[in-house]
Amino acid sequence: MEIDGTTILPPTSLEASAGQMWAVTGPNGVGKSTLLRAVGGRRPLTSGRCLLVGEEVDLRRAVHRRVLAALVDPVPIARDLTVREQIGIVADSWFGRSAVATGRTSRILEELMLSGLANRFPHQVSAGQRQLFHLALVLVRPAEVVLLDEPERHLDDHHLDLVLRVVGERVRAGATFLVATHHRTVTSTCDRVLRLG
Amino acid sequence: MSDGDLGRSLASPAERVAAVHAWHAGRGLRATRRDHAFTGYVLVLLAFLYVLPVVLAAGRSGPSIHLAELQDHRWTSWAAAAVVWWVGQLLALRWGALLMRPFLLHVFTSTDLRPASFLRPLLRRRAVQAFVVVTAVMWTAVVAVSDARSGAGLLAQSLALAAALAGLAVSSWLCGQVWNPTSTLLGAVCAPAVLALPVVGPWGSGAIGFSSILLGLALGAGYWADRTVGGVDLRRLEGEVARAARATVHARTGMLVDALDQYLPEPRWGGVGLIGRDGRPRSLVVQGAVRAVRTPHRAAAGLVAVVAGSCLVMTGILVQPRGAGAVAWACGAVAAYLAAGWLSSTWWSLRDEIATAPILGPRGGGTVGRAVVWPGVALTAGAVLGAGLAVVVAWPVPVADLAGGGALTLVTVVLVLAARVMSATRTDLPVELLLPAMSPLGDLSGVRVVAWQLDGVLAVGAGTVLMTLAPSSVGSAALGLGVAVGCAVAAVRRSGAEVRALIPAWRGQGR
Repeated sequence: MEIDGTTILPPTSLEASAGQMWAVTGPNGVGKSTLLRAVGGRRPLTSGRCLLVGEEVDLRRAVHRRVLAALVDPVPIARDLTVREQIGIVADSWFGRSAVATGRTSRILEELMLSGLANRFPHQVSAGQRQLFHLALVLVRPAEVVLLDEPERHLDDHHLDLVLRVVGERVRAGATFLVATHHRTVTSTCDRVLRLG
Repeated sequence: MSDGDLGRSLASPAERVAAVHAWHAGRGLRATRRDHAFTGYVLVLLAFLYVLPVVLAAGRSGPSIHLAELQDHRWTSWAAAAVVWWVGQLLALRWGALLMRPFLLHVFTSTDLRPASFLRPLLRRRAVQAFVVVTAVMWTAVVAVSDARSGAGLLAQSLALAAALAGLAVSSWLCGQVWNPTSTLLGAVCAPAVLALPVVGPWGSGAIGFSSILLGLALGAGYWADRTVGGVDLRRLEGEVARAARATVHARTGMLVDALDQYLPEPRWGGVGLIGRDGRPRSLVVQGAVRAVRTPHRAAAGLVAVVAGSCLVMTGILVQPRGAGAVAWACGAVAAYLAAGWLSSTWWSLRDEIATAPILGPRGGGTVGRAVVWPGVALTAGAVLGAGLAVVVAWPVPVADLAGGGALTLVTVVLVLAARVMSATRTDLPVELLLPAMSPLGDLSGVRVVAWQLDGVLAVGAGTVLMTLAPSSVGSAALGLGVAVGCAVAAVRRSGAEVRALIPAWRGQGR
């Protein structure tokens, strides 16, 4: 992938199957986030192909939006809604006002130890807690392919283990994770590692 | 969860959209019935205090438009309809009907819901709201300037005309955001041709025939927007929503300038640098030109505006600096003021430098000087071009008129530059402006804050009107220069510097 003649992502080949967790590593500027954006259909390729469930990735297609969840670029959040309300809205956007939505919201809050912060507003939580909140917004929705850019950001070892445990459960349930990271703990948890650069 | 399980547990699209809106509507900042009642009370109060006196005063001065004779002014009506269409489209480029909170749009676009399922209800709701408001405003204006109060039939015609124009404005507003940029441009070009249909078609009696056809066209365009809303470019919409959210925050804190800054185009073409190959900075004129070219569309619009504006100014002066000539002069000056902003990005540098602490020592005249050189050169060149064009069109022109007109055009350029400097040196909203300003019409502190936000364009408008009222060219020039000096002094005081202290600084820079 190139911009104005400058290569921002070198030729890369990767095939991830269901139930796999891939780590993408490499120095800054090598194209890790760009790769995630390309897989997520957020950045067009200048050459090559990126297939999702066997078809060229295209976020205009409902099936691709259903399959794919991503935390790559900053997520807009509502300042006047609590952590629980925002996660609840995401769950409701899939399951409507139902027991399934409520159950998934409560479960992800517990899994990421956010239950105690559920009634706080985003500005009332720390940077690490906000990162957990952003992860919860992605993990509360159903997805078969999940893209995470540096999920370890602002997290201590304990909370990082917590996140990796939740991700591990999703992987065992059949989801595919593609994680750009600089952290050895994350890399060691993954099934495969793709080194760029 | 497998796809089959997921499919069974997913709710219907309508339920999902309704659930999201229900969550969102239930947040803490939702307006209560009491809030809505207060808004209604304020609107009624405003209507009685401000709108009603204007309508009554306009009624006493005699009608400007006779609705029964509207068919005699077909092409004027056509021009008004075309302007309404263009205004709606232009507004949509900045503030469209599909704007929502960034979080909500992110939630919707992260689902597998079809865009139409969450955009169409919003589009329809906004269309109805906008239609009601614009119709009310248009009807008030039509009643004020026409003979609609002479009878029930004419009143009905005025309502039909207002509803048609409002429908046209709303449908162009909807289309302006739903269509892609190419279609929008095509719509802007083709609209006058389509709007000519009611002009050449069966007119009927009074305004009813014209309004009916216009309303039909508006409904057609609105229906088209409604059908195609599902094809909106969501990436573009996300950008517009994020930009509108940032602009709203600035506008609410009283900084209209910062809000408008959100709509500035991103610079490109950075290949030509501000530093020469020898490592030395290029001249101020070249730097200004390079920065202007980095936003080519904006600079091109500025060039057109300054040439057209100065042409209008010169024409106004040559024709007769009263009546229509005065209007042309004032409009031309305002166009030149807008052009000064579009042609130069040095105003942002000036504002930034004024707002930050002078860590490299006290500021001299250099700060303002650096900001003024390029727009001064560009405006003067554009003014010479525009004024020359006006002279060519009006040729033959007596030498005395030529000299007087040229001098007054240049004074207008000086006034425009001074007003721009004053506007660019505006920093945070002074707290004292929020204090009550009692008058027989009530508290005018809100009007004062708006005037402060628009000080530059108001200074240009007021200065030009004063110039048109002067009995001689010399008097006009003196008045224009006086207002320009007033703007410059205000700018210097806003920057925190003493006017007297700047004089030696300028002298020092000249050596």
